[in-house]
Amino acid sequence: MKRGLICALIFTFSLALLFGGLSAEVVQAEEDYSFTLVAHSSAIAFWRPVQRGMEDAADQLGVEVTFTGPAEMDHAEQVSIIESLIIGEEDGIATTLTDPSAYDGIVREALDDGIPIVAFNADAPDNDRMAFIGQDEFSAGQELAYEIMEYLGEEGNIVLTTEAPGHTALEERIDGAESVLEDYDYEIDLLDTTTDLTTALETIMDYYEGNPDVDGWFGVSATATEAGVHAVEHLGVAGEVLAGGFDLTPDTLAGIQDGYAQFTIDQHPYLQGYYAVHALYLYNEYGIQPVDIDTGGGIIDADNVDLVIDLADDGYR
Amino acid sequence: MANSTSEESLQDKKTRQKENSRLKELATKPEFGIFIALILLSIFFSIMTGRFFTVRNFFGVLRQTSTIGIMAIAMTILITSQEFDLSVGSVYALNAVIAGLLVRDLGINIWFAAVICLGVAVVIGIINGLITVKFGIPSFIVTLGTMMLFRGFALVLSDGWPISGLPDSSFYRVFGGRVWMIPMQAVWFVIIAIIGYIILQKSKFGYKVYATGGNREAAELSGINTDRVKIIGFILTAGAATISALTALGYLGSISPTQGEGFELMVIAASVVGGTNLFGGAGTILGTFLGASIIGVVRNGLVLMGTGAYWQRAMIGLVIVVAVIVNVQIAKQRKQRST
Repeated sequence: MKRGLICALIFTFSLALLFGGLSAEVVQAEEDYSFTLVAHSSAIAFWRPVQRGMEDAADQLGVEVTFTGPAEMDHAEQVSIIESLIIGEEDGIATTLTDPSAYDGIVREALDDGIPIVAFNADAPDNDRMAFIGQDEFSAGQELAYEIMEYLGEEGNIVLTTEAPGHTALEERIDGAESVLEDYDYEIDLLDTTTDLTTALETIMDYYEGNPDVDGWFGVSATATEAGVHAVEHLGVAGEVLAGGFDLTPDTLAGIQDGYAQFTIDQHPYLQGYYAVHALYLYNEYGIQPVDIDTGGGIIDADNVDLVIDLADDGYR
Repeated sequence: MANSTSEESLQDKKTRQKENSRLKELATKPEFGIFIALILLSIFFSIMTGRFFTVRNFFGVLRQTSTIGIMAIAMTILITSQEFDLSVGSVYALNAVIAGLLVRDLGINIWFAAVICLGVAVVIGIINGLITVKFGIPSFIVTLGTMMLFRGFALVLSDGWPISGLPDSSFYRVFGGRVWMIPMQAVWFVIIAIIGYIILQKSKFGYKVYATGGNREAAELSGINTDRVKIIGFILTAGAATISALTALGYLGSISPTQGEGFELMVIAASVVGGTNLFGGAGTILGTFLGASIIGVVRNGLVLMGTGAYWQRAMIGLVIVVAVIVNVQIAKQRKQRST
């Protein structure tokens, strides 16, 4: 009994010490605003530039920011996090909206409580959020299709890979790409890679085993794209099978440099973090209503990959 | 004079002894250690952030805990009978998908769809249970397989696409609404906990569960059909996963075939943090309720404190480990005293 109690006391004490250190910064900046960005699968490499943008904006504006979210996409858990932030009277929340309606209730709750809430990275258009800061996904999907046609022309046998089936933004990209390609002679398969890079790689390699006449695989999300690049390298099919897709993870860029992949589409995640903090700050400080910002960027391919690769290493692109 | 003082002190001593023994009796309750841990954590978070100790947050935590908590109640009964169910997270998704499709594609009333899902849960429980007891395969392996099987069904049936925009119904208010400040999910959590308490700790069936998990051979010899006990345990976990899915659907109004991935381990963690013996034979519903609450409190408290995503995971892991150490220590002390 005594030993149990002592154990428990030591536990609380060590927790207090640990958090004393962790939260020192928070206490220091308490006179300023505190904003939180909530991402749907916070454990993937994609968010690094988002966090960098968020932190740079926070430094410039002198506000406190936190980046959080469930490790893997889970609407119930993400809603719970937002609920806690509302109870904690956060000064502003930015969240990804990866489901058409699951976040409607909690976003209204935030707005009813007078807490500004914007969407970043992924949007649900019918949601009441004040604004969306991110890429226009449907046109980004169309851009993907046009880029694929640059290489394959008017006919091809391709796979679109996604790491989260049902994710609103990714499905819109797929719809955008299909809307263009359906007018031409394209065979399109869809493949779920999951957010785990190893599983994704194996899934794509297995697909190749069963469909060796495939012309190329193109990811609509960061991990799926990265895995496709690795698959070309592992299978030794550079030049025979094309790879490309979305986002600038270091391996994708290195793959473009080394000729394992052809292109990737930049959605400027840095800007998504950066502008989200600014939008919340401007609303708190001057009552300026957040507005939609399209962060959709250009194509990165062999011609310009050298320019961005160092910036990506530093977490800006 | 001297005499009366000594008499007084004797009486003092007696009452003190009585109080002492009452405290000791309380301390011998298996849930005591976990209760102390929960109190300490709550004090800690109350000191760290002024937002923690409020009525609104209390109900917030209870709501957030309910999804895992409802499943953990049934899991405690199953683990006590010496089996596991890893498929709860997948059943949580599959039955939500089935309910969504019945309503959206076949136009069936959502209440009726919910009843059908509970029926599916019974079938799933029987499948898990029968394979486990009839083929003598460890349930850990059986339900690992069915976990993937049911997840696959959920993805196939829904085409990997979320289901939302279902017609309005009283269902959403009963399962996911709010009465004054109280979220219905929290109400269901408490109701399921009370039912679980009656089943495990007050009923004849509960006695059989403890007997089966404590010493299966002895239980068999005394005429208990341990296979039946275990199969009912599997039905309870599948049923609880379904009820949990219905409350989540009531609250979110949206279904995703990937929902609940990884829940099985959080559910088992909540049960074990609450003092359930992983090897069967010991476990209480109150303990599990407190165990789930500990995980909920840590999650919520860290968000309120503005801790980043990566630290939160590490801290929940740390709390699970430490809570179990504290628990085991107290159990050991108790055992030493009783022998």
